[in-house]
Amino acid sequence: MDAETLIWTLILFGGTIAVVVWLVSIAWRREAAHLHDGSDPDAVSPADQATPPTD
Amino acid sequence: MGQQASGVKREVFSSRFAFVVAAIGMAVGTGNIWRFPRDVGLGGGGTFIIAVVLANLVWAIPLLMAESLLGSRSRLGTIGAFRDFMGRKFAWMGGFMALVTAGILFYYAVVCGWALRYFVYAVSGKFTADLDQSGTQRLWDGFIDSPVQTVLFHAIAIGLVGVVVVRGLKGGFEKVLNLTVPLLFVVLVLLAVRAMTLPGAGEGLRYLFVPEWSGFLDGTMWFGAFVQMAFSTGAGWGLYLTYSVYSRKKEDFTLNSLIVVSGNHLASLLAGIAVICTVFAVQSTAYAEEAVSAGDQGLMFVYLSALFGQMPGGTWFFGPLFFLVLVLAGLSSLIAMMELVVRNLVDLGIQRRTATIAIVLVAFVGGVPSALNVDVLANQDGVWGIGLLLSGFLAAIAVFRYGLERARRELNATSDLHVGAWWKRLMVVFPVIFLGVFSWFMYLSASDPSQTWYDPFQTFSIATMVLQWGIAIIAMLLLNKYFSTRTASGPLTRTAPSQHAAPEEV
Repeated sequence: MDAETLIWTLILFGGTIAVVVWLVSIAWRREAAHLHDGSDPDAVSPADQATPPTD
Repeated sequence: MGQQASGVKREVFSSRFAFVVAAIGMAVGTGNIWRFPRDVGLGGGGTFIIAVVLANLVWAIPLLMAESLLGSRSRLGTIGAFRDFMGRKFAWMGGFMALVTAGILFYYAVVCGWALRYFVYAVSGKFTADLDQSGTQRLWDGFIDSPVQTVLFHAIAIGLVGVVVVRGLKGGFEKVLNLTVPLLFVVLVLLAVRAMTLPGAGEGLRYLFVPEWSGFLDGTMWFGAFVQMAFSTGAGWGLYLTYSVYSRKKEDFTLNSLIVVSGNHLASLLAGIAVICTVFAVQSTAYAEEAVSAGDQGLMFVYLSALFGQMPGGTWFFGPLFFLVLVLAGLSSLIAMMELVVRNLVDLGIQRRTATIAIVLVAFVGGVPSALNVDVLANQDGVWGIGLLLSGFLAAIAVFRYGLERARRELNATSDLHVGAWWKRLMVVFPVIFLGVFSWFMYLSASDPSQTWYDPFQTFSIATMVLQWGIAIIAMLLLNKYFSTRTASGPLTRTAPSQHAAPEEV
């Protein structure tokens, strides 16, 4: 494999893997925080009490 | 388990993992496995991949966030969501969205049937060293010309999905997708690693990833990238909206949308590596270029199938794994499509069991013409595939009517990642991009010398699309009053007009 192929494979494929791992790690930490502080993600939020739109 | 405003019990995904996995399963389909590798090759390798990433950022992510808002706030399928976001006169738009997806469900089940048939071929050791390309071509021709086989495997595909959907979220699609989607990724990684380690795979990687800079000036390449993205991510189809109906109340839709889109992109790249590197490594560059020009089915069922016998472990291990990936990707998307239609029927007061059986039967009958004739399938793919762009446009309109700032605030109310003004700007730009992509499709159809644009009986003519969309829109407009009054109430429903609240199961 030549250097150009290696570099672009690392940027486009490796970059995608890095982004996925980064995003999943954020989600993982948020879920762990919810578990830690005992907050229920299915509890009613203010947004759920939004007023209906007008017709 | 939460309680809907109308007092109806609702199911929710057990965790963020379960929701994201289901949504990725919805997005990753056969297109990731057989269309993406071809499109990348034809679109200039890395140039095309960069264009797809940009398309994901400006189209897929904002639209998936909008869909998540429609589903999670309305707690209803597409019909109820449009009624509650747009007003009672516009429930038909949700009906149109459901009808477009149903149109795809019919022929996509046929495609899943093909994948199942080839999986059976593979596990029975069909792809040996003796079976060359002319042999796989004969095998494909024999299969596709056998109505008994194509209809039988279409029935099996639709039946399998029906068995999952009839069980609802907890006992059905959450449980199945939690298993099959991670398995899909494990197998994809195995196949990609195997392909990358084959002697000569470097040529395949070059073909896939090294950009041809002149390609950025090619309008067709950009068009192809947006089309690939629109069909691959499922943005605007209503599928993400439907899964969002089952989301927990405080779900981070921004982060989830980013994970779904990037996970779908990763699946495409893994499939691209697995397919292209295998073709380049086992055969000549000329064979590889011929293979990627052979159409989606030609690449997978004729050219790639002919290579398994030439690979160590190809006949009994990697061949079956390739088709297992195709089956898993297809069925996980098919589950989402059927759930979208069933969800709407449940909202209309029909028991899930009855609704699922009805949809299985209708989808079976509706798919038979495509199973018997690939030209019909190609026609349906064109009509409803492009119809999806219209669906996405309608989803954007619903959020415009709801109010972009209001929608952004509500997304922020449940998101850990802050949704800035960028989201509103991208949503405003969306109709312009939609108009460009849609017009390009129409131009291609009109300028195709094999088609007479005004003949509705030709496979890809503009008239066949307009006629079928027109019939769908008129039918949905006629049903609008029925939809708006019979669909169950949700948290956003202004009054309680529903004569038939949704049954206990949702």
